[in-house]
Amino acid sequence: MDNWRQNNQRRFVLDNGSYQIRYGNDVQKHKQLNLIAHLKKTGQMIYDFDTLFDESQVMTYYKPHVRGVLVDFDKQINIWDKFLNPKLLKDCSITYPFQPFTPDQVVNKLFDVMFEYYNVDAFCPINAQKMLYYNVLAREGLQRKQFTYIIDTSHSATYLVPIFDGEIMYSGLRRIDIGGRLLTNQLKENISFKQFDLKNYFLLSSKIKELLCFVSMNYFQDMKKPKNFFRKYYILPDFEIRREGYAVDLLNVGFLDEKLILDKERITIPEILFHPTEIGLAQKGPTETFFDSLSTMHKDLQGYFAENVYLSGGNSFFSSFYERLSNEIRQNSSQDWNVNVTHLDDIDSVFQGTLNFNRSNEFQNACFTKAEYLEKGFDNIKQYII
Amino acid sequence: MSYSFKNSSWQARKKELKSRRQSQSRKFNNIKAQVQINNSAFNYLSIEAPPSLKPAKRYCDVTGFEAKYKDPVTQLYYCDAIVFNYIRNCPKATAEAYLNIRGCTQKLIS
Repeated sequence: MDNWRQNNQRRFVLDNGSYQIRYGNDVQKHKQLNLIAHLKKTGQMIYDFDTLFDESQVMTYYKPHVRGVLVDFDKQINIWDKFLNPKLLKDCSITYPFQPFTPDQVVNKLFDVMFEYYNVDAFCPINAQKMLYYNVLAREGLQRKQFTYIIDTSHSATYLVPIFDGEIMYSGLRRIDIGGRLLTNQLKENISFKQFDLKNYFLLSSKIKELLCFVSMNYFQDMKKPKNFFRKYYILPDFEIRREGYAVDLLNVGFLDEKLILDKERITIPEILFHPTEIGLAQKGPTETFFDSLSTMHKDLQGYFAENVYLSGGNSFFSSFYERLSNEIRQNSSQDWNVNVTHLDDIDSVFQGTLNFNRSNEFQNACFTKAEYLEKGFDNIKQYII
Repeated sequence: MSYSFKNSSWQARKKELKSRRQSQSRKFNNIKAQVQINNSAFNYLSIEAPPSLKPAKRYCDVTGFEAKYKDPVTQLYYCDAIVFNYIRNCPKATAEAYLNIRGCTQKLIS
């Protein structure tokens, strides 16, 4: 009998983010957006939303996540039914990365759904930033690493996590409420105030943000430069001739094109990541929380954490985001420290990290099997901290 | 009777969807309120980053340049004497509209 205990291909990974879902094991991989789209003209609901789909028709979107927390289970099960089959999952296990300290209601209901509806044999809840630690171990070829510090900027929030010897130090955990979703919403409001009403087009404005925005090294000096210095045009898609828009310089633009003008929004929008007070949010930026969370440790250990800092997440792919952060951390640290920041280049870094975790020795201890669940229920199972 | 202009594959929008759309933020607020009731040392709300110690940069509400002054009557930031003249002579509705853009929704007294 092929079981998940012996066969490595029966251990699946379900990475359920607020923007994308990734599902698979060593051999196969499935990726889609975590949305339900409702077309207004025909009344049709679309559950498997691919990036090849265009926005030529008027659509409304529904999301099961609110601010990074799974709230609506009915919509999520409708999305999962398209690629999860209860008959094929009979001898398999699923590992599910969570954000730190998700509320208890969500986790308890997930145990219900996984064991009763999908008939999974084993279910393993684990922290998402710990999976990045396993990704780092796979890169450097080690079995164990003493000091790591992880900065993870993603769609809903950014997390700063110090990890000592494979265990998370909970006194140093911090969360900033700024992610990629807030940046695209700001760009949407800026453009629809002056030029063109983009309030129902989230995916189009996220494409504009990925194409044209970048992080500047000297913000206050770049804001004093003249008017046409950073100017670029984005030509909107017209669904008869072309399906995707493209960016164009000052010299190549035509008079009759339907264009959007982006001048200084290219700099000011990624600046919200570093200074949240520009919007009015009373929180610290990533450099200040880095030193704030290090101050909860002992003085002699702080230098070792600063030697091993790792950056990951979708937001870190802005051009020159990595140089700006490493410069700021190096400027504010003391002289004895040997600051070293590396960038994990993979977009699916959490997914690759869980694949490495599934092969390791700690996987068997962290699982909850179906026999335990049927005997004890989840009041006794609740002896973990995510 | 079947009409030729009617679309045969049209499905009516279920009424549940509309009521569920309003209750998603209510569900999130319920979850947050329960986290506060179960007291423990570390929970979802205690990991938030504290407010920053550096002074915040303020920008003029009308022009967008860096603002150094604040009008005590209308609570708007301004950078120049010409902008100040415009602010004091405009009607109350436009001043409240400028405040709404920034996010504060208080009503002015005078």
